[in-house]
Parts: sequence; C-alpha cells; structure tokens
Amino acid sequence: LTSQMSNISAGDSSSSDDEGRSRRCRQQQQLPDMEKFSAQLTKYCRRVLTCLPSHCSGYDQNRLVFAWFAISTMDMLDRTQELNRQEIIDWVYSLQILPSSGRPVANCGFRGAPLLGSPADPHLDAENPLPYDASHLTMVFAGLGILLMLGDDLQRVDRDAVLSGVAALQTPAGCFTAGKFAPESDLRFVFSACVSCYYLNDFTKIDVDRSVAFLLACQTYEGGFGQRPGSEAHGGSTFCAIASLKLLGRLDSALPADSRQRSRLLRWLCQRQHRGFHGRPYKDDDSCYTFWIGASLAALGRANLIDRSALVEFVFSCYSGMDGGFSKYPGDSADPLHTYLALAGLAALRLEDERLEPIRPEANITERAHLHMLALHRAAAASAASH
Amino acid sequence: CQSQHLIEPVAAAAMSATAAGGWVLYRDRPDWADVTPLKQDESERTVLRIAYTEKFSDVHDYLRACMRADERSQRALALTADAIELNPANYTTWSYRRAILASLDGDMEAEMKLVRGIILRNQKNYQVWYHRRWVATRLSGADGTSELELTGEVLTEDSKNYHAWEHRQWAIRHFNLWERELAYTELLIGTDVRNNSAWHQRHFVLANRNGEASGLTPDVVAAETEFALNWIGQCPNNESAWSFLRGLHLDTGLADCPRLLQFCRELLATEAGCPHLLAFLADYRADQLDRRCPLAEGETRESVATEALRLLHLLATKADRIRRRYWLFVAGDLHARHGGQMPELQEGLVQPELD
Repeated sequence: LTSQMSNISAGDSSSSDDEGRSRRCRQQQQLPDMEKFSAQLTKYCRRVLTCLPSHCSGYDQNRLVFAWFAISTMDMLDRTQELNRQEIIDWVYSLQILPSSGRPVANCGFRGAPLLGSPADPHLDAENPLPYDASHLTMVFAGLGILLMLGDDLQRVDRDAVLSGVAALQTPAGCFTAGKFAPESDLRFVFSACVSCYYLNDFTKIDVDRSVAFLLACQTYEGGFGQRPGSEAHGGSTFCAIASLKLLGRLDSALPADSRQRSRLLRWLCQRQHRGFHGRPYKDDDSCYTFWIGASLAALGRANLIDRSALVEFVFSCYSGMDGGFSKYPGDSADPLHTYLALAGLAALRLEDERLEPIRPEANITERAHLHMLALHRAAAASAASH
Repeated sequence: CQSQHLIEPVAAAAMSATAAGGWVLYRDRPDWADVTPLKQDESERTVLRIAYTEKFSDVHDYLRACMRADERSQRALALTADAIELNPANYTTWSYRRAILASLDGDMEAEMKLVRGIILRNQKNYQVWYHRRWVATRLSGADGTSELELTGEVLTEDSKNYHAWEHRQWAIRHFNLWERELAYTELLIGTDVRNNSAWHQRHFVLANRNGEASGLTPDVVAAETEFALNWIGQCPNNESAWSFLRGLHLDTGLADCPRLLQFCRELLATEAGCPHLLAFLADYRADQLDRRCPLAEGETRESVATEALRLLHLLATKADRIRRRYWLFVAGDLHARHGGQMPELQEGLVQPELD
C-alpha cells in the first residue's frame, strides 16, 4: 500500500452513524506500510487458526470454512509456509467422510467439524458411521480448497465418493441442497457443488443442463441473480451464478456477450458501487461485497469499469490495525469472513497485484493454488492415458 | 451478509433448568445418569479450536451421545432445545429435532410458538426459517396467515431481511395468498420509497400470481407503469422505482410505450441531473435503435444515436461520475453499433477498451 493510502480519511457509509463507529473511524486513519500490514494480518489469521473465544461458538459446525478464510488470506500474502501445513492437511483429511458398507456414497465428502463425535481416523469412522453424519457442500469446497492452497496432492481424497456425494445433493429443479441433514437449497450450494467438481476436474456426475436452467431462472428483472427463483437480486447469489456458469463452461452460451441478459447484469453490478460495494440497492456499502461484486465483474472481464480509488479507499477504511483484520463496516470489529472477502475482492480485481497474490475469481482461489490444481489435473490425465 | 448468523454472540436465555434458580449441568442431572456423554475426538493441537464454555461442552457432549444412539424421546427433544439456544446455526441439531418430533408425533402448535421466539431472536439464521416451513406444512388447519404475520413483524424491524422475504414468498405460493400482497408492497413503498425488496416483491406478485401464464398482461403493465411513474415523480432519484418500471417492459421493449418518453422529457425540465432519468432516456433511445423502431418526425437514427451518446456522456462527466468508466463503455458500444456523434471527452477521461 502506497504512502498515498496511509492518510486516508475514514470511509463513511450512506446510513446514519453510530457514536461508537464514528469514534473508531477516527482512530483508523493511519494505515501501516505493507510489511506491517502483512504482519498484522498474519498475526490475526494465526490467532484465528489457533483458538477462537467462546462467543464464536456459533462457528462450531463451520470451523473448516473459517480455517479456509484464514488460510486463504495468508495465501494471498504468500505466507502459508509459516503455518504448520502438514498438521492442517491432516486435520482436513480427518474431516473427510469415507464410504463403507454402513455408509452410502451419497453421504460422503467432508464435514465442517467433528462435532458429532466422529473418530479423527476417517477409516475407523467409516466402519462405525454416526447416524446424523453427512457431507456438507460448502465443507467439500473449503476442504479441497485448503488442500490445494497448502500444496497437497489430493491422493487421500476419495474422488469417486466425494463426487458421488456432491451429485446426490442435486435437486430435480437443478439446485443443490447443502447436505443430507442440511436441507436448505439455494445458489450458494450450486456454487459449492460446481467449484468442488472443478477442483476435482469432473462434472460428469452432476446434471449440468439442469443446473444451468436453475441458474438462469434466478436472474431477476433487475439483472442480478437471487438465491432462488423469485428471490431478490443479491450480490452474493449473483457471484454464485456467474461463477457457476463460468466453471461449467456455459457462461457465454447461457448469457451471450451481446444479449440483453448480459447487459442488464453488467448494469446491475456496476450500480452496486456507492463508494465501496453493497449487495442490493440502498443497502450500506459492506466490505464483503468487494468480493461478491468485484469478482463477478472480474469473471465477466469487466473489472476495468469500476471506480478503483473509491473502492480501495472504502475497503481500507474497514481495516482495523488493532484487530489486524477487516470489518463489515468502517468502525466495527474485524472478523475472518470480511477479512478474506475484502482482500480477495481486491485481488480478484487485480488492484493490489504488487502486494497480493491474484485470485482466480470464479474458482475463489489464488492463481498460485489454481496452477497447482491444473498441474494435478495434467498429472492425473497423463496417468490415466498411460493405463 | 449471508453468514451474519455465524458471528452473533451466543444467545443467553433461560433454559430448561431443573433446579430453582441456576443451571444444572447435564452430567449432574440424575435423569441423565444412564447416558455416557460423548466428547469430540480432537487432540490439543487441533486447528481452529473454540474455547467453549463448560455449559456449551456439557450440553453438546450429551447431544452427541443421544444422536449416536438416535434416541427419540421427550428428554432428547428438550436437550435439542437447549442446544439450539446455545447454537441455533447447528443444522444437524435441527434435523435431529425434526426426527424426534416426527417419531413422537410432536405438538406442532407448540413448535410454531417455539420457532417464532427463536426467529425473533435470530432473524438472519437460515436453519430456523427452514424449520418454520417444516412445521407450517405439518400444522393441521394452517392457512398461512401466521406466516404473513411473522414475516410482517420481522420486516417491521428490518424491512429488507432477505430470509423474511423468501419465507413470505414461500407462504404466498404454498397457501395461495396472492390477493393482499400488492397492498402490502404499496404500504411498504409508502413508508420507504427506496425499499428495493418491496418493489421486487411487487414485481414477484404481478409476474407470478397467474400461475404458469405471466401476470404482466398489457392492462397490468399499463396500470403499473402509472403506479411507478407516480412514485418516480415524487422521488425521481430512486433506482428501485426505475428498475421496476424497466422490469414491466422487459419483454416488449421500452420504445413500445411512448408514454415513457413523454414522461421523461417532462421530468427533464426539473431533474436534468438525475442519473436514473438520464440512463432511462438513453436506454429508451437505444431500444429504438436496437429494434429499428419507427422514429418521430424530424428524427433520424443518427440524431437518436447522438442524443443517446450525449446522455451517456452527461452521466460519465457530471451526473454519475463514480460510474464514468461504465457509461463511457456503454457509449462506445452504442456508437459502434449505431453510429451517432460522440461528444468530446475531457482531458483525463479515458475510453475503456471494448473487447
């Protein structure tokens, strides 16, 4: 971050201000230099990866995702080598749900945490499966993502079981439920399914046409995409739709470049900038939309259409040097989700190329990890060819 | 944020305490003496530990044991309620609770009350809204009005709560409650003319209330156009109203409705700096060109294109500068397709490249 950024004024928001928020805004006006910034962020991420306080007990079932936020942040800073990578890799594999005579492949994949009491040894676990234990699509995405980021070769992943588990969660309408015991279904899980198939380079088990039909049914008259057909266009679901279509290789056929659908989508995305980005008209700018909106534009090849300095200024007004991370709004306290999404948005838009490893927007992973993924795909193809 | 519920502090609430006053740990309850609690299998060096409270660990140790045995009993039901208070985001607890309710043929009236309380305390939690739907479909004699009441209550506090709107749409579809929803959206729009969710809901009702056939008939489009123009006239700087207006004419095209051009030209007299008005006019002109519509006397394709470019240039340079790159991109694209005279760009503004 340049010295020009070090004296930015605190960002404002379009809503009425809190007393507390204003006070913290004034405290945040000094931005540290890149080395200090990287050190503060790393300290924050390492703390998250070690232990969270009791008021974070609501994360209990999703620990794998929060680990993913912290590791991904460190991957953008190119500092994952400072982590105990093998320990983390082994922990991820301990969360894999393997098939057995007592457990159908439909339940297989990854869980977010061992909170049902499953044994840490996945083979022991498979022999005595717990009744309510099943994969969750977001955890499949997060688990595979962490393995790729930390340079694992995925040899311990039961590809067939994971992919069958993903496919088993597709609904007749083409959507995906989160898991056998997590019956909610919306575009978040279409994305998780698509990106998991992408990481494993295999879309053959899911019904691609039906997914595309469902995705398109989620585009609203505003041009963005809602979580389900009929729902309001929203930044998060819009990213999920665009990324899914791109990963499925259907973006240009489903939303042709010169179509009204594409131009309405682009208009809607560009309208989401007040100073930073927000997720729906007349909602406050929120740092996480830096990614949902930013990566959407980047995936469409239109990153150049935004006002970069206004965005960067807003994003860094959400940084708290005291916490070492980013918050939703200027003046709030940092959390791992906003820390990752604020930075990943900038990285996907290529606004901080000298300081942050770029992000492949639709795959939601660093270019470095993406290259590693491609190398694994090539090796697997070569190995298959020689047999 | 979609994951907002994950960062809410643990809900503190009075629970099923057995002793007068304080909380009794499950391990100290005589009626649970037959159960061996099951701990999480984790080493001390595990990744991303959470410093659970003793109460949290104790409740979940017993929950794990019950779930492993798949016990379906009243005491297990009460245990899930305690676990849900501590962590309402745990979807497996909710699934297990539903399994118990199904086995015990549980009291759905009581469950509705319980869920209502949890929703009001955790308004952005996905699991609790799903559970509400599950109960509502099993409650005999339900007509869905309680769902409109509940979402209405939540929306009074937070008029844009995404879960509440989705639940409301579900109830309207499931219980066939289309009739009065337009009036509801009008009420909300009257309260906050920039409530995008209310405008969206209005479109949802109009488009879907006729089942398979689109509800956007010519009569409806005409009436709703006047509805939108009335609100735009009162508050022109309102993206939601303009989007809704566009949405009415998506299938037919803006240029098929000369009323729109007339209205916009009149509004220009007093609102020449309103970005939504300028953009809408540019869109109208672009539609005339794209669909090769017949033009008014004195107008040519070249003059219409020039006017559109002038409007886009105005947006980029004055009326909507944050989006200057986008408006210049749109202008470049229009010029490439339809010609017209490009206004001169000021120094410092760069035409973004088209691919």
